Amino acid sequence: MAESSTQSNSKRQTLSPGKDAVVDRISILPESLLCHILSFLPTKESIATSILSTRWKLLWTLVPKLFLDSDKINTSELSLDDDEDVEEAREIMFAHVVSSVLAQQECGELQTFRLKWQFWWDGSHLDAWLRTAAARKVKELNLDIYTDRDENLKLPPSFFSCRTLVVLNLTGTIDIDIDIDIDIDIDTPSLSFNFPSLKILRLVRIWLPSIINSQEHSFLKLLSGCPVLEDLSFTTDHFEGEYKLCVPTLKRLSISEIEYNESDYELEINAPALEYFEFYGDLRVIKFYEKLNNLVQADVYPYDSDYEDEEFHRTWVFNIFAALNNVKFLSFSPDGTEWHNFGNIYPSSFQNLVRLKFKVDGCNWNVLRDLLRKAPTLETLVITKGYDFVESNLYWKEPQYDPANLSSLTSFYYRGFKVESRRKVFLRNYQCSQGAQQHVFLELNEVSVSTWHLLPCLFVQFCLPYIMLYISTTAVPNILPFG
Amino acid sequence: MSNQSESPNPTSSSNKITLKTSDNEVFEVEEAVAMKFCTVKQYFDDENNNNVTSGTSTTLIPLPNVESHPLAILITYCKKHLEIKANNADNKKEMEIDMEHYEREFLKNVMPQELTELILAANYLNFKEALDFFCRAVASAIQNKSVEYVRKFFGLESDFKPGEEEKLREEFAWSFEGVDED
Repeated sequence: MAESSTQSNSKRQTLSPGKDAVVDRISILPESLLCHILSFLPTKESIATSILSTRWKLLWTLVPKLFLDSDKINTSELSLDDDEDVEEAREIMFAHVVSSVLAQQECGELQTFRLKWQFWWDGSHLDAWLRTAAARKVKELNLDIYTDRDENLKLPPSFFSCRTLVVLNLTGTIDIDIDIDIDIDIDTPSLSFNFPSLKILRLVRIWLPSIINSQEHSFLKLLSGCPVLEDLSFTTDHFEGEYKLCVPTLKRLSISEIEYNESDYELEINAPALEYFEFYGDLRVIKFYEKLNNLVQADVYPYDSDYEDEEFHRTWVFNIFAALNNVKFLSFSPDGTEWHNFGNIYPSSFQNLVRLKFKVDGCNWNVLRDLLRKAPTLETLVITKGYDFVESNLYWKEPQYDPANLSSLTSFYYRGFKVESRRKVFLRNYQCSQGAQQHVFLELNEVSVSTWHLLPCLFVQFCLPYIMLYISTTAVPNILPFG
Repeated sequence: MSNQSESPNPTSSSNKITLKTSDNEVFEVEEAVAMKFCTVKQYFDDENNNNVTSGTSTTLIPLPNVESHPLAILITYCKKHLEIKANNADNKKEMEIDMEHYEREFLKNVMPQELTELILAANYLNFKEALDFFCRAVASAIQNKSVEYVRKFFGLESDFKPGEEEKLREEFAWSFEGVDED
């Protein structure tokens, strides 16, 4: 690209570091742009630029973003023998670094304060740091705190005075070596969780029981302190008990459980403005107060559950789909063998559904078939292979004469199946009943021979109109689209 | 994606806008592309407000602070940016993956010394995505590098008084640790 230029600017000579010639190619930028470049670096590296030249000496102090990570602080020069001494020295040093960086920064408002902090001895510094951040009207706060002390870390009073926050990410981590949950505890009776500008809230491994189970300081109350919240996600080890969630302004909601859950829980959601809903976890009672009329996209990934009562399980799925009925883009990945026995789980037709991504595991074909019967406007269907795909048609039922009417379907992708090379495949070609020609892209990345026999069934089943085989691998030149 | 050619081109069937660079080169670009340059959009909107009757198809917008070389690169970047956005309208994650892939390839064709002029041009045009992208590219080029490496990369020479640099090195010793080999 450089050669194509007709400019004869001496500053544009080709130069790579390591050559002797020194042509300053950065100083032409104004201070604001140099700071913008530095804002993409962690604070440690932004400070390291202070000795490039006198102009750079104080530039880092003008960057309105701070990102400090205790893992990146070395104490190699201290040459301590005892591991514990090293850790303690490291911890003391990091606390000193954070305090002095905050003290030396010259810019006014702090846009982002990101702190990744592991500590073993003293967590008391956080109060002073957050007091500074609050005073500098911090907009985005990202706390990722790990400790193995045997009590929950309480967020300090200064945290609750960060009233200017727009984005808040709280991540707590559990030390797996001991039994007790050590997470950030945001249950603070005397202080109110009150963030009038907060739009995005992410809680990862925050000690949920304390904020949800206790009556006085429920999750409900916590969220009522965020009157303009639009995006909420929380990730927890597992749910237990009753949860209520009421956020009239909420547009995006993501819920995920990290571990398999054996307990029951009940989650009531009142978020009528929701546009996006995501769920990863063991499905229990999830009640939406009303059908979500503005919903555009939903990604639902229920874990493989050993729940004994299938009828309960079926009802839970049924209820969740009753609320998600208006969805346009749906990803659904029902894991486990129990789905086979469920019967119909869809309360009514998905009148707006245009794209469906479905993960098959061999046991849930019926769930897909039922869904397609209720998706009259579907344009794109993506079938992917689940992680635990059962290579048998044990659960495949011959279709009855009740073909889905997928007259709007234009793209069909069948992904993730392995192929045994140079096997000829003959697929029948169906003409759409309406006579309109549609192109169905059958993306056979890697189609497994053992599932080939299912494909024709699939077409009969779904009454796929006109099939155009699209093969995205060059390894199987002999696969012919039509016999 | 197999149906890329069939997907509607976001920049087709719109008005053309003509941009004139400081070195007197003329670029005709789709309106959708030009509107990503906020400076152009502002000029364009003002012109339209001032003279409602003037046909937009003949608008010529002078860019006295931008040379043709960076502008051509920015237009290419912008077109691709719009295309990737249109192809993944319903999936933010996939859009980000596509964009990241494109940007990685894109940087292979950009010389380090071009980045400065691209940053200046993107800044003048107020094209935020490109400005962030090129600034991020400079940041990652110097990330985890020694002071000596970064000085060479930028073409800088130390102008500290004797002893001053050593003092800073001592004060922020922790920040110079753990850098890559040059």
